[in-house]
Parts: sequence; structure tokens; C-alpha cells
Amino acid sequence: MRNKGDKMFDRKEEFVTTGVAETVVGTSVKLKGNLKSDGDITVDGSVNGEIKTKGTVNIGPNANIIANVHAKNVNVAGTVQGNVVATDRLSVSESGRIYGDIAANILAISAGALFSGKSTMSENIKSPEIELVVEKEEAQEEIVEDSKK
Amino acid sequence: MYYYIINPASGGGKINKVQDKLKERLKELGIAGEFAKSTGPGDIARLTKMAIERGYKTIVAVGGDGTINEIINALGDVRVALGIIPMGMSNELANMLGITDWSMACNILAARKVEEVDLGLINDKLFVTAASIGFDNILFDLKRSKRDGAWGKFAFGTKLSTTARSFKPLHLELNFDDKYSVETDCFNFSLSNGAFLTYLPQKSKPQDNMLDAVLISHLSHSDAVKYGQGTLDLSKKLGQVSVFHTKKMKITSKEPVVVSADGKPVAETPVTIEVSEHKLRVIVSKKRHF
Repeated sequence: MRNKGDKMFDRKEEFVTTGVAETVVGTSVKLKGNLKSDGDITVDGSVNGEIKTKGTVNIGPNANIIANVHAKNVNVAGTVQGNVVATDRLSVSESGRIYGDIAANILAISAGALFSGKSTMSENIKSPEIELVVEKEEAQEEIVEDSKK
Repeated sequence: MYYYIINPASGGGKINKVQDKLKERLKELGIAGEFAKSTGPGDIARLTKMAIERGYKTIVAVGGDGTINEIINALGDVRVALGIIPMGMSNELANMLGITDWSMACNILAARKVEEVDLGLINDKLFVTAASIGFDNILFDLKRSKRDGAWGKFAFGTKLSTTARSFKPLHLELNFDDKYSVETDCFNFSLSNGAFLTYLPQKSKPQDNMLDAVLISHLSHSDAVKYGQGTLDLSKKLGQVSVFHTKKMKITSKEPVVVSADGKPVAETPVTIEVSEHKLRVIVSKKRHF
């Protein structure tokens, strides 16, 4: 299922953000450190550190992220090596790759996406760190076909 | 009483064509005040300090962003109100404040609605619109030497194309608020104090105590020419564009690179750019863009 906000995943060569991202890390940009914001963040470059926002994080198809990501909503179309916490919704598109633990209230993983780590689902995720494991899935390079299966 | 500082060189001498009408209109509105004309480099700062010494509470810049830049640097933290009658090649501040021509400016001056806006600081120099590194600095030079008429337009286009072809991206390291750093190739980097960069869906305001950093990493030759002509829709090339928000940042490069502010070269890298503690009291239109 695709949301209006998933338009960014349509074409890899022409990554176009939708909505009004307050912070944008472009394709050829390498960022080191802790990126924190109150607004939406879009990443299509490299980030090494931590990403945290009260809004949405859009991770584009060219993105290579070595960082923990914590946000209200997280849309992943690129590669994330780190833990991902979405207090509301985590969406992983077919080009998305996550090597790390995830926690979300709502989880949507498209066919073809790759997820390797533990998953936690809870309606009350608050902490930026993944500490409580409600459901545990230890997967080694597991390709999740469809979250609704 | 208003003190008018006229820069006769602004905008290729635009003021000379309307000076009599302007003075007449100001007289009609009862805000004629005193007029002073700059005659050379450093004169605008000298006239500003003279106006402060004489106790004027309103100083009006009759010129463009460059004239305003010289006035705000001479004002420092003195609390006078700045009015603007836009006559420059670049009138970005006036446009943002909703002041689009001299006739409208006269009415706005008479209404005298004052707002405080942020100022940026590069080393020890204040700026009010934006600071730039990269292709913009070449553009400022090209625009300054641009002549009117069809031939002038053709010559500008030719020079722009040649310059865009030979321009090599700069390599910069940008440190934001000591929290994160960005290493990147750079076609152009701007640090804006408000909604001056209209090609991006920014929410920035000149009263939010923040600067918007907009980085364009690469552009093809044809896109660079369009950028120079102001016809490139960068909102469709956001993969090439990065946007950050900062209060204070450091910019370093292997070789020193020119940094401009309000369209004028003011420093070289490495530099620190930040939101100044000083605020500018400026006369605004009801139709301002913030």
C-alpha cells in the first residue's frame, strides 16, 4: 500500500521530495554528527551519526545511513545501518535496506525490501532507544516479502 | 525627521531619473527631512554616523542591498529605524519587506510601521539578506557589469555561458552549531536570513533567530546557465540541493574562497557565520513576506 508521502520512492534517478522538508541532505553530501530537528528531514546522501526529529524522516533511494534514526514517521527507500524507531509509522519500500533493530507503532514493509534485525511493535513507543522487545524476530539477512502476509 | 542617504551609483543611477519627483512626493507626505548623497567608498558609513550624531531616529537608504549593508554596519547596535527606497540592482530586502517601488516606499515610510529583523554576522561584518560562496559571487560580478538593452543582454548571456562552463565546484567543509558537519562539493552555498531563496519550500522568517543554509552540490552547464538567468526550477532538482538550519556555522576549504554578503565580497574562508545579537529595526509594508 502506498501513501501520498511515498511518491519519493517512484524513480531512483530522480529523487524528488514531497511535502516541505525543513532539512534536506542531498545526494552527494556526506554528513557526520547528530542531525536533530523539530521538522521533517529528507536524506538522499550519507549520514554517519544520529538522526532525530519529532516529524518525518524520508530516506531516499541513494541514501546510505550509518546512524540510529528516531522520528514520528520513517520512510526508508535507501540503506540504513542502525536502529530505527518510529513512534507512529515505519514504511520500508522495495529498495529499502535496514541492518539494525526496528520499533514502530505501525509497520509496512514492501516486497523486495531487506530487513536484518529485531523488530518491536508497540502503541506506546517513546524512548529514542530500542530497549523493550515485545516481539522478537531474529533474522539473518531476511527478505520480508510483505508485512501483511 | 528622516535622514535620507542617497547612493547615486545604485542600480546604474536610477535615482537620477526620479529624484525630483521623489523629493516632491516626500514633501507632500510631510516626511521630506534631510538629504545626503554619497560620493565615494566609505561615504555611506560616514553619513550614517553623522545622522546618528545629529540624533535622527529614522535613516532611509535610497539604494539597494549594498547600500543597506553599509548602513547597517555603520549603525551597529544603535536603535534607529531604517527605511528603504529601493533603487538598487538588487533589492531583495525591500522585496521581502513588501516595498516594490519608490512610490510605494514613500507611503510606507509615512505610515512608519517598524519591525525588528535578524541580522547575520560574518566575522565582524553584519548582513541582512544572505551570505554566499561559489557561483553566486561570479553572478554578482556579471550582473554589476551588465549593460541595458539587447546588446547588454546578449553579452551577459555569452559571459554567463562561458563562466558556467569553466566553473569548477568548490570543496567545502561546513560545521553547523558544533553538532554536525558536512563535507561536500559545492556549486553554490547560501546562508539566508529569511525567505530570500524563493525556489525552495522554506518556512524561514527573518525573525526566527535562525539562518537557512542552502547548498547546491552540482549543476550541469545548461542548468548553471538557467540558474544564472534565474529561470531554473530548483524545486525539481532537490537531489542536488541540501537545506540546513543553523544559528552558527563554520566554513572551511583547502584554498581560501571568497564569501560575499548582501551581494558584496566581505571575507575569505575559513569563516564563522552566525545570527547576530543585534537586530535591525526596519520600516515595513503591510504586504511584507513574513
